[in-house]
Amino acid sequence: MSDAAPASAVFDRRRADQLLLPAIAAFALPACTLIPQTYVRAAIVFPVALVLPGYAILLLAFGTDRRLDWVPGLSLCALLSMAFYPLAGLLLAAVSVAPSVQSVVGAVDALVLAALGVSILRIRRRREPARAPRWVPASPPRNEGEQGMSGRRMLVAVAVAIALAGLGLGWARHFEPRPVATPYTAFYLTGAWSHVSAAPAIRGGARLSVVVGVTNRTHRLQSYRLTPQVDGSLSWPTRTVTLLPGATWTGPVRGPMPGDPGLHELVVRLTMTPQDTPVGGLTIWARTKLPSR
Amino acid sequence: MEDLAFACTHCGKAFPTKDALTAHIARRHRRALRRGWAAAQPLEPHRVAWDPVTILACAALVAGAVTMSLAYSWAATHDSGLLQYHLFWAGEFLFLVPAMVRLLSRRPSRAERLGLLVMVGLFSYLPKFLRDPTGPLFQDELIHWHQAQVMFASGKVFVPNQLLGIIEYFPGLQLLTVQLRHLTGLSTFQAGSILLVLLHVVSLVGVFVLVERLSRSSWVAGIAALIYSINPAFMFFDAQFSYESLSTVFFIWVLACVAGLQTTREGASERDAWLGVGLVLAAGCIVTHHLATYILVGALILIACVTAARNAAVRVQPLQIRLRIRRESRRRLTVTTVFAIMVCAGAAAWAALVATGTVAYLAPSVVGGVHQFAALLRQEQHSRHLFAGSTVPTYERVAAFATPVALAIGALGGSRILWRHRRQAPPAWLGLGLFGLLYFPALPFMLTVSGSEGARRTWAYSYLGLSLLIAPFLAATLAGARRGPRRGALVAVIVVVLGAVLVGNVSIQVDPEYRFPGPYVYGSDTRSMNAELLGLTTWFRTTQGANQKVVADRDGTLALATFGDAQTAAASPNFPIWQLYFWPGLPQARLVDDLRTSGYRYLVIDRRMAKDVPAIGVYFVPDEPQAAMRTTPVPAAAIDKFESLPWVTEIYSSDNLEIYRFDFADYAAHPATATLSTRP
Repeated sequence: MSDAAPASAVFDRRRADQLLLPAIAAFALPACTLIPQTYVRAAIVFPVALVLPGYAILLLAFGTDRRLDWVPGLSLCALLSMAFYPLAGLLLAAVSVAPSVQSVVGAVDALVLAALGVSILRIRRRREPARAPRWVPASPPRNEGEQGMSGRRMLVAVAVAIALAGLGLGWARHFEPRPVATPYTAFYLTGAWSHVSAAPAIRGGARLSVVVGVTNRTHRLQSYRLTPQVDGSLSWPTRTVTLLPGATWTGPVRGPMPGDPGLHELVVRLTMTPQDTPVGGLTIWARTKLPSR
Repeated sequence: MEDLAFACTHCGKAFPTKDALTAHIARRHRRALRRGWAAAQPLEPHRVAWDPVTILACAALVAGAVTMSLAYSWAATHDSGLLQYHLFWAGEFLFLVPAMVRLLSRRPSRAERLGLLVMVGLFSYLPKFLRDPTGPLFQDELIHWHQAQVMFASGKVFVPNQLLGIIEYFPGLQLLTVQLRHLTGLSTFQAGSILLVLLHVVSLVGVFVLVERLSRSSWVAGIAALIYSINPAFMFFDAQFSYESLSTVFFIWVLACVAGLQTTREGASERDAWLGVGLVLAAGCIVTHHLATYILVGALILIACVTAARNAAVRVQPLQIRLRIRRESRRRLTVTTVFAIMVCAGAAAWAALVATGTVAYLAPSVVGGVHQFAALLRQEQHSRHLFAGSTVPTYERVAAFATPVALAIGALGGSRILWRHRRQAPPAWLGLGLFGLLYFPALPFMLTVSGSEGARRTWAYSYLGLSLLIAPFLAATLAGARRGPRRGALVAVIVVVLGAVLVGNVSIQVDPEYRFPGPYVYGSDTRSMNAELLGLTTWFRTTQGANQKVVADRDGTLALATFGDAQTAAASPNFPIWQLYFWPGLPQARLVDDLRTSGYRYLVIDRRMAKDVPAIGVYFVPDEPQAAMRTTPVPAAAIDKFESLPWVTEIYSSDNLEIYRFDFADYAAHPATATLSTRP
């Protein structure tokens, strides 16, 4: 390696931000994923996760001597990261590694280390002294738009506008009227009855107890009447329940089954009182057998 | 950033002073100057501290966002009226008008244009965000969200999806979201939403970079990005958590990389760098979305062909210059062709080895659309009625019909300019310009049932080419106008036309039910997903458990499969589950046998099926009988029959929804009291 540049060229101060910052970020990433507070963790990790892999790919592609100007460069970094994660996931899946925090962090760190290693090798192979990176615009030079605002001022303007728009939106959402969810009532079989898969067999004339539930989602205090009836003619005692908004009632409806053997239909109708507005009904089939002697 | 020299926007040659550049333009590009070729004239260097129009745009961003929020609040709390449309557009144009005016001007700096475009990208995401800030809502979005949830929970990459089978083989978006979930701890919806906001901004920056590289003008690039931002898919379709939203951005940036490798003057190393970056992005596109990949392949082939044609047509004297140009062109052609071949090979390998069902998935839409269009030409069938039964305001309909005309005029003007400069313009520009013209052949397919969806989906891509055509036309028109009231009027006309195009595009792409919240609408996907259906889904998931096999209509299927983790039946002519719902009598024995052997245990009924025709035209799938042609709902007897069938038990009932459990063992049983005349 007599042709190699001295180590000081690699760790030149002007390159520090190009090589050291991603290295620090790559080493800090595993620790950041351990932060227990989700939003704090997301606020730190998300930007790093979306920039780091893309930056490493750009470093591999363009080297340390060239940089893209910052808005297109940052956009390209983010998009390259978005391409990296699925591709890394597929590669890991190919070697039977499931996506997890460890595998993702490992993939990102491996890419960053590879990019840093290649960059250092490139610098050391070159005999020329280290020089500051040259900015490469996303497009060649142009001769227009010299009358506009500077990039720094525009950045301030955009940041302030976005922050104010966010505050404005939050304020508007807080004071605007909110839609009311569609009112409805749910009526259902509960307990073992909710899993009934075949008509239960019962002795003819015996009493049957079916456990049902009612949930009031009408946003108001509401009374309901449950009216059970067998084969459209044999009526069981009705029940009336009153429920607060959002409340649930569960309980049995009971009554005798017909004495004749066969398949019988039990319909439990639910109506809203006092207008007797029908809500729905449950249909259950029960098979009666001859009473044993 | 280092100070850049004055460069000729026509040939790219750099000059140390503005005078040298002016002399060069006057000497070498006299014709272009006369025709108002974009940005061929230098401007006086003079920076302003704070530009009033840009500051107005920044302030209008806040006012526009609040007005937009008001529009959504109004729509959610009022059952009828058109005020939400008016508020929506008022909010939209409150910000967009100053932003458009500034972007159409030649004065802003590059940074200012980029800043404005970042704000346009963020602002255009706002309507989708406000539509439902709490969770996924659109049909595609729900499917992809659920797929990401399952992938996260199972740790598998290729997970079958019952609602959209093809997404199993294109896991790019889901994998990205799952990996970010692992890293950040956010939910799928939160991680996805942040990604979508970024993608909106990154896509516009991508268009800017692409056009700036090709035109060497940040002015033209800003206008092109602005035109792209008003494409039909940008505001809603590409703002949902769906694979197109990611792949479209890959598509744009891959083409930006092609522009980079075609126009670079930094030598082979930078060309190789753009090639490498482009390949990574293309690989991301290949594993993310089929249509974007195939359109990308088509666009790359077109660019390679145009580059080859340009190479063959080099006629420059003297010999030394000709040889240099030929050498440059040959390198450009080689690297473009190599890039196109590599992307083609990648796409073909993915389709052949992994996504083997892609052709079978895409073919019916294409073939069906072509057949229906041919039948339309032969007058064998009626065309699809645009805006049939729609409640959108009249001005939106007028704008929708006027949009293609405005775009055709712009494309024609742009084509003329590009044709005049065909020898100087980079081949990628010519190729993408041709590609943009494909927008127009796709338009007639909007009149067919099978082809309309496909046609709409291609616009997100063809609009990129259109913006490359129209932007230089607008720039040249503005450059040709004298300063003063005449130019002001011209800017006003352009802003009005672009605004009308935006109104028309949104109106033609997005149904009112997708755009705004509001009262329940049966069969509308978004407004069908109300508290009652979600309540049923929660109850089902809690009491019956996950992975239960269920038969339901389209709305029920979507809710149960995504929120209820149920395995829902996919209706098809081979599995015609619509027989259960459409016929007052019993379904065919074959269907009952299929249901029994496949292990389907539950049936979900929406009683509104007998009251309303679904807003999107189908109860289940486009293959069902009378799909999109039905004018009356299914007979009530067809829905009521289940109350008296002894082989179903009603286990859940709400105001409009019911869940039955099948008991096929009692299929042939007779109740003690017969209630249904049609017995097996």
